[in-house]
Amino acid sequence: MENESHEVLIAQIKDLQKRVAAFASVEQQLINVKDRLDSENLLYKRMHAFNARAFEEMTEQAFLDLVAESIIDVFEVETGCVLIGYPQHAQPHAVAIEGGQDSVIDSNVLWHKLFAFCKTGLPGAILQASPEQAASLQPAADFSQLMLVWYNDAFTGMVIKLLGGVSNKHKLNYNPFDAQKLNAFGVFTQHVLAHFVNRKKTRSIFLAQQKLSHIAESFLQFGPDPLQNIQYLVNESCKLLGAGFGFYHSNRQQSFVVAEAPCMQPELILGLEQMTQITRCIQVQADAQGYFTGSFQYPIGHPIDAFTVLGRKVQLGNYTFEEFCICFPGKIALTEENIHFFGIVAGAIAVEKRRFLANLAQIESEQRYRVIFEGTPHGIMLLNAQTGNIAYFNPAISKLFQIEVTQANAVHIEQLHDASLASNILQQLQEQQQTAFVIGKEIACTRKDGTVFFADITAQKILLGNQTLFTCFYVDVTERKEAEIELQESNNELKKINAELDSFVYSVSHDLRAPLMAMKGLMSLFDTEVLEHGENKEYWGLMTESIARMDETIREILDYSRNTRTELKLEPIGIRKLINDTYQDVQFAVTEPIAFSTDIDDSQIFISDKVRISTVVRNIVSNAVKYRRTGATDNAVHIAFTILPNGYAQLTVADKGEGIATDKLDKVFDMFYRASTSSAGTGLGLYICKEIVQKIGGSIQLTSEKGKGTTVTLLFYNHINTPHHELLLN
Amino acid sequence: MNCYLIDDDKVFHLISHKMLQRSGIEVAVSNFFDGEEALASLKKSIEQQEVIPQIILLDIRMPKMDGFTFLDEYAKLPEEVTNHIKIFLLTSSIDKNDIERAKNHPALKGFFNKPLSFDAIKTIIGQD
Repeated sequence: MENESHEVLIAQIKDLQKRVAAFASVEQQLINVKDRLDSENLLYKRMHAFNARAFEEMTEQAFLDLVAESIIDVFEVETGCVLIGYPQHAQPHAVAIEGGQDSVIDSNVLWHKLFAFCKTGLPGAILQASPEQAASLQPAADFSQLMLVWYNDAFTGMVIKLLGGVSNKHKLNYNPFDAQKLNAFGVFTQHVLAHFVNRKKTRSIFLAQQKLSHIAESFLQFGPDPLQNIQYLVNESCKLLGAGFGFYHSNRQQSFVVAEAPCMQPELILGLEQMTQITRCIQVQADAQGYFTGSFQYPIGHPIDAFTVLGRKVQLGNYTFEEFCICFPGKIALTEENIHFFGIVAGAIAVEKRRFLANLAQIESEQRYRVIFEGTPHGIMLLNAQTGNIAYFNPAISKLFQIEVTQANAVHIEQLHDASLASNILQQLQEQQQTAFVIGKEIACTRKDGTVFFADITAQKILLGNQTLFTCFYVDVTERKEAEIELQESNNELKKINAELDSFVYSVSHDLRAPLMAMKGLMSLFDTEVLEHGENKEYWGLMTESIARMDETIREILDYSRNTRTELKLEPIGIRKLINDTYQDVQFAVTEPIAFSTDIDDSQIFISDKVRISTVVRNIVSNAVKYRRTGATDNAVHIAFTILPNGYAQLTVADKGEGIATDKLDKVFDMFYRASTSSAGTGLGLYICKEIVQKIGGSIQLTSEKGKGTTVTLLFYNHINTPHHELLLN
Repeated sequence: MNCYLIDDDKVFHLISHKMLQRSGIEVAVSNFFDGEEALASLKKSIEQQEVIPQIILLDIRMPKMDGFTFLDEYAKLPEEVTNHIKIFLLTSSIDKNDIERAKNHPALKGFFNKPLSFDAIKTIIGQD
């Protein structure tokens, strides 16, 4: 029983032990996986670091050092070695060797051993040498572990050998070359190859850049003058290339030297001069980036036989330019590096050149505007409406305001205007929605010394950066304003004189007429008995006639005077009544029979100046009556009136009176001309009529036959469409 | 009939007076040499309720107060008085402005040029 239970117990213990062992195994497996993952991770991190650095190391030696170093780093070996080259090259191009941190290997010895090992023609891509194999390889005897990757690139024909090793004395139990690391070794080799192939190109760019970096500092010294910058670039490049170096520019029509280095030799300058002819006949092929190289042969007998150029075609605006770097044979190698260098310099020069041309255009345009800005007689200033600060103003402003200020100390609008006008202007600018507007016309601007000038001020809103400003234009209208004021004054003076004259004429006519009328009145009081005595009646008649003549003269002078001085007063005219009344008036004193007839069409409104029309009508009708044939019984006056389709009113006064001799006809409208002596007249009547007709618009025509009669045809403009009459009608 | 003759020229006083007499009207004429004098008299007559004229013949151009000023002052007088007065311009002026102004003046009953004629007197009487 005891035994039995003991056995059972033992069995149980064994079982438990098995289980524990199984667990331990699983645990170990898990640890292994974790380790592997960790190391894999580490491996790729290290390879990544290599890749990053591989771009930076630009010299071949540094690159190879990096590869060897990375072998030690990536694969945790004590030594690393790389051999890169072509099968035909017996010697490796470069070898690097490095001991690990705790390496006790004499690195010199190890290097030789490894080198020899690398040169063995072991086949196969990857070889892991066993201790036995390692021992069989004499140079590798000191190694506990050796790994060699041998890689032939079919495309480039390149051979890359990577080798890593761990010494016998150390890490005997350490095996870094598990399957994972072996794989990584293969991948790593390809990385190295890729870098090496690509580096051929990137390295030349790098080298060019390095050269340029010498003058890169000088970029900092670039000044505002692009031409100076170009000259600087050329000089520095020339020094670096150690060659005659000119910068030559051609657009095939024109060629010119942009800049030349001081070290250029006379022969080269000569060469440059001849480039014009050469470029005309040589079509230089450029690559996709526009770079080209070429050698040019000089004619026989020339001091130099030939020279080499580096060039680039550049597009500037619509033009293709060729830029050349000129050099003597042998002095500059047409290496990729130099071409890149040239490209970079050419690029920098092109930028400067573009800047130069742009500057040139800008300077020209600025100069143009400056001439206008400074030369204009109109004041221009740039004003900030919020602050009232004046950013700029032109000389015309200082002249206008008569202020001795420079751009620097003119700061505020209140320095120009008094406070109220200044704030008025600022307010207008702030409230204005339009971009261009009038601030005011004929604004009286008071200068600081108290004198005044008048200006039309306009403004334009402009956006400068993120700031809204106003360009204010001042046009000095003082002269115009003064002329206006002068004109107004003289106009007022004239009005005053006119009024005085009016009043004078009025007074004179009244004062002359009053005693005349007194005489007329007194004569009417004469005792009829007295008139019967002797020749009294005849004298009485002559006196009456004299009074009438003088009265008429006064009337006519008054008519003439008023016609020239008074404005037109338009109103509808009842022409029928006017004609009839006038006729009744003028024939009043006539005792002989006169046949009077009319043909008046007043169906249309006739608008004109009534007083003037009536003066004309009275004169003409009065003449028709006055110059009747004395003693005849068949005198007649016919008056016709109608509105013609052309808008004129036509008045015809025809009489069968004494008529006017043909040779006198052209004088009847002259001032003071009298064609007849048969009746008292002043010679003013027809002259006044002509003047009036001119004033109201129209014409007067007179036809006459001596002894038969006279016909006067008048045309009056009917002011039916002249706005004035509207007021008077209402 | 009472009549005011307002004129600075005494010849016209004579002429107008004679013409009125010869027209056969019984008329008492008061002569004034300017508007001011006539206005004072008229105002005095109204105040003292004396006889006021039925007719006033008024010249335009006179010293102190001219015809139009007289008319303006006249217009300020009580209507119950002026309603009984006929006022006419009798002037030597042939100025169109004067004529227009006279035609448009509400107090005026007519406009005559000097010297006073029988035709004018007929009109004056006829309107009375």
